[in-house]
Amino acid sequence: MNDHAISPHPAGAPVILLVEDNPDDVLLTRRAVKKAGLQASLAVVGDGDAAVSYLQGDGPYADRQAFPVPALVLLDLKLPRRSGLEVLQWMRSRPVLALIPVVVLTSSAEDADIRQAYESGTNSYLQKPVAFNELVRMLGALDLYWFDINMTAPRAAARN
Amino acid sequence: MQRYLQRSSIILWVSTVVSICVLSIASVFVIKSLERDADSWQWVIHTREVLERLQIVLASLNEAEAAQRGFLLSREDEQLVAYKHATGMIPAEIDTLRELTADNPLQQNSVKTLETLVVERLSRLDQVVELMVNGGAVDAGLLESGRRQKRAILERAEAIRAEEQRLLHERQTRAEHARRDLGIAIGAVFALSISLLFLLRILAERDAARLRAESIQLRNAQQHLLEANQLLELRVQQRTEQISEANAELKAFAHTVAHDLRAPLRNVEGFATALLEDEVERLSEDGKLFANRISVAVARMDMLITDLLAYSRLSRSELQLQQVDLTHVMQAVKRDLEAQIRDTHAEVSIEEPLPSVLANQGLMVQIMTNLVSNALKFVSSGKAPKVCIHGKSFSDRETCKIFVEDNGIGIDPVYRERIFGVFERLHGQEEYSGTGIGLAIVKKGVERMGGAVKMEGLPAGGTRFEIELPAVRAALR
Repeated sequence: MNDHAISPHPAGAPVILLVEDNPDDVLLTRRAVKKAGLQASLAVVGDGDAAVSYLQGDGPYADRQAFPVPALVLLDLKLPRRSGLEVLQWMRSRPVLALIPVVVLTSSAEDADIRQAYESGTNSYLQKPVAFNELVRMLGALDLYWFDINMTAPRAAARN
Repeated sequence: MQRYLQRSSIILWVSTVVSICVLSIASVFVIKSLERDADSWQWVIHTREVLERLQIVLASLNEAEAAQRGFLLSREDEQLVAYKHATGMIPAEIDTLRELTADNPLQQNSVKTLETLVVERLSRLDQVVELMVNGGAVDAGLLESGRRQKRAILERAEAIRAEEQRLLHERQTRAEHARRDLGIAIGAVFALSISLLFLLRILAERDAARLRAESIQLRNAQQHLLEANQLLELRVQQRTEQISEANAELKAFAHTVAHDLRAPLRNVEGFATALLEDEVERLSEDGKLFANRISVAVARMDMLITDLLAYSRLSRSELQLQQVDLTHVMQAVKRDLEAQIRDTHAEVSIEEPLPSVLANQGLMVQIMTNLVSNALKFVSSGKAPKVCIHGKSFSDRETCKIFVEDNGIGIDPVYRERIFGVFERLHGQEEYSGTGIGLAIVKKGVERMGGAVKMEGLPAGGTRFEIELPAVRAALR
């Protein structure tokens, strides 16, 4: 295991920030995370603005102990207020946040959506599978890839 | 139009030239008539002169006789001088008369006779005067013959006068005719000139009116054309707007389907699975069956949405056409269908070489996958599918053909057109699964690449699909 592969969390586990507005999807994703036995813990925000606040550590998310900087962002594209693409573009314009891996997890498999997501700087694009067990499998693969295999850029912010 | 204008101006020119000719001829005729009229009047004057001269001759003769008689009675020399004077004038007058009637032989003869008679009469008068001067006596016989002579002279003069009167009458009549002719000619020329002027004026006016009408027509036609053009442009603009609006709506619709329609579906499947996993001990057998059925139905719904989106993408997206090697396409197809081929123990044979076509690589893979997948699926149960893919190029054609033949259940000719429709299915879900969009995608895809697809039954059973697409010429490779 690589030192840079995981973002240190006060509790010891990396945090995945799930940006998802559909409570059923949140519920099922939590269940799938549990079922897949992910080492990371899940933080959830319900819209694009909330995602921006969380990432900036603004307002209700000021406490970095309770709301640590995520090691990975799972981003839905279709969100209330600020869309997933806007959140992504905003992140990529920030020096620190630009380095956090973003995985788009959305319903659409339309060419236009995929192309725009990559153009805006996503690291990966996943279509939400209809079958729940597919989601479990997908999250298992994601955990293995992003937290065990893949190396992320070392973050200055991680030291404070 | 140009030809008509030329013809019209030719008519005008010809009319003008004809008018000038007719007027010239008429003018010449009038001038001739005037000359003849003047001539006739000259002859009338001539006749009057002849009569005058004749009168002078007779008057001089009478004067001579009167003077002689006076001398005979009075014996005065004065009378003798008057007598000599009168007789002296007569020969000159007769000469003039002769000259004047030089044109008429009849009158010439008469004048000659008159001259002879007058000369005889004068010599008789002279004879009597001489007798008297010499003191002789005048006898009655001599006087009597003198009177006879006088009568003959008067008769002859009367004849000449009658003849001249006849000539005068004749000439006057002729002069009058000439004058009448002249009047008629002048009138005719005048009338003709006026008519020609009117004719030219009418022709020119008609010409101008026609030109005006034509120019108005032309302007109207231009105006109409312009309006029609503007209308057409407006319509094209409106249609384009409508189309782009419809296209935007279709895109928004597809976006909604892609994003929103799937979410509840996913949740239904998720919770059905959760039921089966978390609540499995409390579920009856029926409950488990129902939960499973929910999962299967959702998977099918998801497949429908996926296929429908794939089909609508064909209309929405721009297709980049390039040279596509069908051998590569078939390799990709076989890879995609690997599991299905293995599971059905199918025999898929590809007769190489396959032609290169002008197409879209991704779409071509999709089309061939659908066709081969159908061939694998639609076989009688228990039979191993056999699929044969081969191509044909033509040296004299811009297109080439690809064939997909199977040993499947075949398609009733009645349904040959229907099978290419969206959601058209000929079999129940239990028998052969599928969404019914596969062949619709094949047809639409081939047509969007400028090709055509058709199918026919094979004599030995089974079906042959034929795809015709633009070929890539060897020179282009």
